[in-house]
Amino acid sequence: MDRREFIKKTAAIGIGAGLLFLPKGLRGAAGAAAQEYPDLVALRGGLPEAMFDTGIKKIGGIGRFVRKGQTVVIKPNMSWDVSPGNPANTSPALVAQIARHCRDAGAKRVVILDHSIEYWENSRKSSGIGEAAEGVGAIYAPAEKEGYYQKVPVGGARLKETSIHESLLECDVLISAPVLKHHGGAGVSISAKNLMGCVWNRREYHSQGLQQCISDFLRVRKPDLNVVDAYRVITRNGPRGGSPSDVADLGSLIISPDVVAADTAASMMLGRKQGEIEHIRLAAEIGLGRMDLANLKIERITL
Amino acid sequence: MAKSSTRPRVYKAVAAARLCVALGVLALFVFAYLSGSGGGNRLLALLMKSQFTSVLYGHGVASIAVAAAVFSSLLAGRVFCSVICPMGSLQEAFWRISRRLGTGAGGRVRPWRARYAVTLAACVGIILSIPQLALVVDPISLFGRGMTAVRALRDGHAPSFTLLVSAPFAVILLISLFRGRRFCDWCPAGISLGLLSSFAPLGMRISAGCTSCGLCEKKCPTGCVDSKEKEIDGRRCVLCLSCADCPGGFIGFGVRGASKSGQIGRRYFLSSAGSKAAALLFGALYATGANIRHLFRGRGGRALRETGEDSSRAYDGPPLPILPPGGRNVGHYSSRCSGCQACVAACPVKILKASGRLRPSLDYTEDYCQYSCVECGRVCPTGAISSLDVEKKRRTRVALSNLSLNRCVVTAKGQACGACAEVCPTRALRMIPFENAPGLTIPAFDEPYCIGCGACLVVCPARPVAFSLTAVRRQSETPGIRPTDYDEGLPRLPETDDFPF
Repeated sequence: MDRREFIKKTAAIGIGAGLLFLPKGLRGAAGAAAQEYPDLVALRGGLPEAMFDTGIKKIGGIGRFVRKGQTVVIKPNMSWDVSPGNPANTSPALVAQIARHCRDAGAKRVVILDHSIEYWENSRKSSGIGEAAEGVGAIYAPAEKEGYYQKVPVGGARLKETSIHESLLECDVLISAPVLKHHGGAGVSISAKNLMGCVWNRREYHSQGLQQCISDFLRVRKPDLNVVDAYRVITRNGPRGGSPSDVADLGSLIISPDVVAADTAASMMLGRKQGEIEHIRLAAEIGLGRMDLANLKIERITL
Repeated sequence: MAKSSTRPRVYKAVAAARLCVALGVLALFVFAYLSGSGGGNRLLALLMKSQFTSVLYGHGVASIAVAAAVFSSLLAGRVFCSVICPMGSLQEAFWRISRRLGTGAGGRVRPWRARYAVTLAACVGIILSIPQLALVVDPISLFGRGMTAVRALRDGHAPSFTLLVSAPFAVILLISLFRGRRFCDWCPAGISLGLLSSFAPLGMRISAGCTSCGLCEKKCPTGCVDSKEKEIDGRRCVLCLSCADCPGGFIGFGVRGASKSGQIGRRYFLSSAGSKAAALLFGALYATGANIRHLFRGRGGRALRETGEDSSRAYDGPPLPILPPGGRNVGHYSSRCSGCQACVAACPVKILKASGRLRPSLDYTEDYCQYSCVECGRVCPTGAISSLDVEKKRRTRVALSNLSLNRCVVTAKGQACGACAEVCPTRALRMIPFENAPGLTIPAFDEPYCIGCGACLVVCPARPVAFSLTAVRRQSETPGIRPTDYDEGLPRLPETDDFPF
């Protein structure tokens, strides 16, 4: 057996072994078409991380979205220099739990990304997400310099091009993990609004039309999975909040591969009507997702 | 004879050790100024305490740094200049490298007497509230401005103004390449300490037997050795011991004044007597300049306080610089700031910039003052920027915002925005329903809660920007975060135990 042959055989055995022992995710994916997964899972009555464990299983397991060797970007809200007591940022435990599931599914790299609004090092510390992410072997992406962003065409109604974080260009899977909250300008901030933290120039959105630009961005990259943290939510003075009276305990979590469905359902939990939030409606109108919740398969779970 | 053979070796070892310490301190300074990290800032705060000129600006006459600099000078010469001053060490490092490469030369230097006039002018300037000259020639301030320029060049955006104010630093280093520690002759701190060291009983001396071979002159970074006259100018010597590497072992450290054949030279005596008198004047003057002024001017803010108007509000005068939080008022700030640029180096968002008055002020063109950040006050060695705790800083108003609603993109373009209210840390800005267009919200501004952090101005997408910021004459305390005890027309949360969909 010469060297080349040896390498070939080893590789073949490796692939064979891989097929035998690791196809859980693949099997799940293959069965996805046959088995009817719900379009959206809504949970209540547990901690965010426990609800995620249950919910992700119901929707087909993380393996339905993340394959072995893939690179995953998780995009939480972590722009604010506030401690987890003020839910302006996503729960660090939830972000860590999502990252852990991705690692367990064999993801090569799990990147946590947000172009922080307040000074990144302070937000990283205060949010607790930096520490939590690194605890499960995820990478906290540097995002404070323009050099990390690359210009891409958007072709939206308003947003023609924008600079997005390089990790978004390289990743196989994008998981949007926002926290549900009120937003003074956009009405609500959920999954679609959350993705504004992937671009360098936020001011561009505001000057060209915030609502339209939020939905335009989904043309560049739609999240493969949306996990909405609705455990403790800011109901007014969003998106930063500040006083305890701004916060309500909803104790919920919403999981859906459809960003429009997830945002619609979550906005209704803040008392908004279906189609009331302009950027969600705009996204639905150009076919980036569905907001007709009545026609979707929704699983409601109370732990 | 045994003595003369071992001593040069001891001198060599001490000289090497001294150079290591000096370069080590210099390296720490360079790191602290360029790092911008939390750890770097802690180090910078610590290092700045060693710079006695900065401490003096903060009226800290009775401080360890001042006592150590004065005492060591009175005892043995310019020890401070030898190992503590980064500006001195940097010149010497440049010169030593250049000499290795064959471009730098040694040799005796006789600096102009005019240098005393510069120091005198700087001292008088401080007392008369025109400290610009002192800020230009202060060694740590020169170094700080130089480091600021180096950092700006490294980060790829160096405004011409930063480069301009650091030009003296560049010139000094260029000269040092060829002629050694030339700035040290003109440095007011060095001159003051040098004059004090006229009293020093200890120092470098040339003993009898010297053949005036001139080797020591060539090795001296300060140019203070006169091998022909067999004299060493103790007011300029930094005790580097390079000259003690004398082939005949005729130069050493010991009791001074006993030059040549053990007699006090006429020249030395004259200069010594004259400088002793001058030392009392200059040394004391520089050491107390800022403090004398302080005594005359109260805390500097008296003139402002006496106007009787609410000075925490904006006013219609010539534009004032926006002082960093803790800078109180222009009087307080300018009577203490030594222009060392430590705060500029420490600011994580780089909005503290050297202004035309050489004292840093806030510049909101690129970023805004971070709500929970107190780094500038923590590194300031003089107290020009008081070290505020985070809670106090969050309530300190440095400027006042003004909203021009007609420019806002919501009213002008009919688009949703809310960028200002989003970033406003005290919720002085909030979004309220826009009556002209249902579904849209416009900003509403509650002035009493504004701390002037500049966030609204920086994020505003309107052109021209819908906000303008005016410095307040005196920094004051605000009530903190605006409480929300009213309904802003938001929908109620669904009253259900189940999901509303």
